[in-house]
Amino acid sequence: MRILIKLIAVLILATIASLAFSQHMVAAVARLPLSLPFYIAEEQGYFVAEGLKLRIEDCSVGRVCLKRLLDGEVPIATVADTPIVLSSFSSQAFFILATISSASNDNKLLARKSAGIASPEDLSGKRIGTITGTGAQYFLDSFLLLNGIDRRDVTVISVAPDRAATAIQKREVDALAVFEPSAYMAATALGEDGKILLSARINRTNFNVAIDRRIAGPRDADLGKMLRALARANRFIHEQPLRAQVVLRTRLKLDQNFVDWIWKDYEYALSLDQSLIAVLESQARWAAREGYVAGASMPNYLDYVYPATLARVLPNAVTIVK
Amino acid sequence: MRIRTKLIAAVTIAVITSVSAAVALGLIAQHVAAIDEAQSRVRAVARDISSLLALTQEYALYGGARPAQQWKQRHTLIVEELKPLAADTLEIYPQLTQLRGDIAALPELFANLEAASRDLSNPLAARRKEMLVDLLIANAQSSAEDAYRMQQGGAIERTRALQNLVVASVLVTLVLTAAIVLLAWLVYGRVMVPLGGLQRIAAAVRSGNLQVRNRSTTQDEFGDLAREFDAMTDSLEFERTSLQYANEILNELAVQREASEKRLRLIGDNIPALIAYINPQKCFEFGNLAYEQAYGVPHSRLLGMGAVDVLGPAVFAQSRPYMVRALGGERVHFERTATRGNSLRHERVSYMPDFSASGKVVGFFSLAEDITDLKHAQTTLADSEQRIRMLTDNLPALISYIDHEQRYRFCNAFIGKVFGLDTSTMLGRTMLEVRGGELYAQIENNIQAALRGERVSFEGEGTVGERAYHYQSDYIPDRAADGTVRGFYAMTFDITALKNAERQLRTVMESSPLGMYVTDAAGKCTYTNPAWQRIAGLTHAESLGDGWSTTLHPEDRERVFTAWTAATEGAMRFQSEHRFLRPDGTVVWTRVNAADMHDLDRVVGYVGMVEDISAQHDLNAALALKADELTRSNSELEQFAYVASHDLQEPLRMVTSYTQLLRKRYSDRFDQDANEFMAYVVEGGQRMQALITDLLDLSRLNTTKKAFAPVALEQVLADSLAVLRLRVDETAAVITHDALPVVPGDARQLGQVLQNLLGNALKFSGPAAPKIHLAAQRERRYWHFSVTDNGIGIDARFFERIFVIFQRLHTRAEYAGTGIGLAICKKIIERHGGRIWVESAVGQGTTFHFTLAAQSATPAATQALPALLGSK
Repeated sequence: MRILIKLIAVLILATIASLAFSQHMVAAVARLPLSLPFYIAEEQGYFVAEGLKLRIEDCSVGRVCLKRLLDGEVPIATVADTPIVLSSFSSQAFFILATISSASNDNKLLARKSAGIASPEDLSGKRIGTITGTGAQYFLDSFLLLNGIDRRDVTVISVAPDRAATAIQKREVDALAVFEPSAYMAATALGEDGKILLSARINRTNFNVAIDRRIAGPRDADLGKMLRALARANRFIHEQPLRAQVVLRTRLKLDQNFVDWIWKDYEYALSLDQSLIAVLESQARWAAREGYVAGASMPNYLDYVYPATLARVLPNAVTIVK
Repeated sequence: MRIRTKLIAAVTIAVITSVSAAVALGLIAQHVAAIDEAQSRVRAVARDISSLLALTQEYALYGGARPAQQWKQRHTLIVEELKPLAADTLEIYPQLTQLRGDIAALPELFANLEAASRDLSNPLAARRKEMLVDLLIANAQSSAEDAYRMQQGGAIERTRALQNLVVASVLVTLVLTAAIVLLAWLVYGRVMVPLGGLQRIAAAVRSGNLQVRNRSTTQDEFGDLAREFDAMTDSLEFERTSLQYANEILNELAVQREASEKRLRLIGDNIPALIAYINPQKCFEFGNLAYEQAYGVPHSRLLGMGAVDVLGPAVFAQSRPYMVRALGGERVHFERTATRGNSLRHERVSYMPDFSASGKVVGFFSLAEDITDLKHAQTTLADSEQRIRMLTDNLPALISYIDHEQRYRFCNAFIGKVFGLDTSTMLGRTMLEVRGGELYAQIENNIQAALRGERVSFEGEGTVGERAYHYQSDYIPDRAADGTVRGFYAMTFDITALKNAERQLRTVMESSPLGMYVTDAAGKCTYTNPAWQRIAGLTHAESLGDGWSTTLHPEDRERVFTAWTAATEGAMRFQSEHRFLRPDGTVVWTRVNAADMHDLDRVVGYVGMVEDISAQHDLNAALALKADELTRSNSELEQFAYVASHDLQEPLRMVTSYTQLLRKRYSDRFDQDANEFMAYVVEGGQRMQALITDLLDLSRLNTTKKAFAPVALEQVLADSLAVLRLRVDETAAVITHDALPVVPGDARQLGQVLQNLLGNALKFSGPAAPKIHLAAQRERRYWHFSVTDNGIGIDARFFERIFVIFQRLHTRAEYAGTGIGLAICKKIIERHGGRIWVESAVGQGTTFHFTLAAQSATPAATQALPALLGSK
């Protein structure tokens, strides 16, 4: 009898919690061009059309968004590969729900000519600013390694995304390894003094939706609604790119020059690909190799993806076998 | 739209639809083929990327030249296979750009891997190799997934294209089916249906029904054919209808001709004239019904009868010469007479010859009208004109009519008589010619005014021979119906006598000792005579207009104005006595009488006379003073009489009483003379008492005036007879009376009147027993009473005297009495507003008449009457 009462109490609480959740969902979304599907879905009312009450809360970068998720502040966050990898060694509290966008050239290495940097080889011994704990840091390491420069031969300085342009302009750093829109703002700030150092393509940045592991299952219906709204937003971007660009520059308070600067490198499509696992594992090895994570074993990233919801919404978008 | 046009349009649409469908299907098929080719390449790319991925892993594990060589060959194949995928396939393969970028980046990474693999002693190189392997594998895997998605996209697009192909095929089939159905409907509706209708109508026309029509409104070939057919049917029907109509017209003409002849006959028979057609043999070929009525020839026998037989010898004899002239071709008119019964009839006859086509007279039409009434009217009119002429000729006035050219068109004989002219010579001549320039100039303005339509009246002077005269002329415009003035009537009267009378009147007024004045209708003074001016102390000029009022005494002014205003507004006679206050301050009492002057029923002014009555007024004032004194004196006398008679009664009663007491107690002690003397004393005292009683009654009439109340005279009479009962019985009198009314008054006083009059009738009776009758008769607002007896009568000389107090016609020895009774009656009756008088002759009996006011019919008046009568 006592057990039965407890069971009923639990059921009541679960129902109340479910109702509370159904009231609102909050997503921490990084203020990046890669987050455009969220902005479009909200602007066009796709979330509402799906019957979903989703509120977007801005955060500067995906790392911060993921941290809020891990801190239990939000159930949903947008985040790129690297913060996922770095967090995966210490936490299993989240799932990757889907990749919502990708970019082939999002990270850039901007050098200051006045610092005597004309080619990647000139970076040795220089102060290079980057946004640590993000894909930018992975990019910097990869760039240096690809060009035969030991990371220990440069001084890596952590900069906040909104201070990157100021840091290089004020010569606090000689070069910057940052993603957009910090790269564009810094390049604009340096003007003729700036130089983008070209290199072989290092990797494609996958921008993902991470969810609190606890809502996977109970909130599948709402998550499905969210993915349908995001898929609809991606179609809108594909079919009406000019209107989508207006939303992007309005949301990020940037101009059309920036949009023209980045637009060709971005692809907005929902997926959950096997290559994502490869990228994550690749970056996990990098993190372990470079000592960014302390002696943990390699995570099994299949345990970090939750393909069921996307498979129901867009069956062809999932290529991972789990 | 024409059927030909519709057919061409339908065929054109079908051809265009078919060609369009073929083109669309071809394009779709081409698109599907292009997708198939691209899909084939994408599949090859996917296969090669998988191989590339395996070779990368093989090289990373084992190194060696063969995997590196195959890796590069496979990469080249991939690049080559991607090249033909054109940019327009980006819609199908959005991953193509990304894939190309990823594939393009691989060789550099692989070259770095090869370099790193050669020197693995350097830890950096080992780290570098590991990273490059990861990058290559990740990129290759990513590219493989892109290729996979491209295949998926291509398959979806192919499916969509095939679906489009199916939809297009179905649409084309539907369109072609619709076109065939439309064509069939067109043929049925525009060809078969009209053809069937045409066949039905043709069959109907063939069977003789020409009423049927297609009445097609369609604008195609069958519509034209149907209209042509209708036109043909119309033509057939018109011809048939024309034939029928012609027959109907002929029938109708026959009927109309017969009706026309009947109408002509009817008209001829009903025209109030004799209409006939007479041939050269003077025989009737036509004669209307009037001949039967006029000449008594039956209408059925008239045709063929000779004119002499129809008209009779006398009329024929009058007509024959004209018949001859008519048959000679002359149109003739004449009048003839015919005797019918006892009356002579006049006829106006016209003969109108009837010419044949060759110009020969083949007869004549005769039209005879009975103009007897016209003749009588002409005679009557001539008589009337003669009377008017006689009337105007004998009027003492110059009467003429002048037309708008100022020419005389009528003059009465009096004009010729006055001016010694032959009036016929005036007619047609202008006024200027007749009156002469000097006289014409005097009246020209009046002539012009009359011709403008104004009625003109003016006076003037002239001479005829040596006699001067005054005249008054009136010009009265004569207007036509449209209002234009055609001329005017001129009437001139000799007013010399009137003028002389006026002059004489003015002389009388000027010399009259009475003041006289004349005002206009508004009361403004226009004339005062010298006497008026003398009385008022004003000059003639000062008196004119409202000037006369300045002489009114201020205390009388308002009263006079009020009376004058009331008189003028009510058109009444004005009478007033008031004072004039002359400018020198002296006051004159005047009596003014004024009367209105009328012109027909309109007041044109007032004429008044003012008399200086100052002396008379003074006299009246003195008389009034005397009258007041007399009234006061009478009142005192009446009071004295009342007091005296009342106070006298008591000592008289004592004298009488004690004298009777003396006779009763001591008569045996007195001698005969003493007793006789005492008897005289008692008798004298009683007479004295009766006298005083009557006097008291008389004086009470003035001192005790009761308010009047309705009095039932029947009851009053009964009471009076009760008082007189003893004397009635003694005299065996017979007293009768009419029904007596109720009148307002004092019952006691009226009883006294009846008692006195009846008592007198009983007292002054003759040898026979008295017969007395009291009559009552209503005369408007009064009752007329009379007391008639058969007594000794009264000499007419004493009719007035008997009503005077103490006047007696007989000695007391003959008839007892005080001589006051009738005086009391007169006073009572007069106090009741009535009158009393007597009719009598000696030995003939006497009738006393008196009147009393009747009681008003209304209760209000009944209540008001006593007060009214009592106040008199």
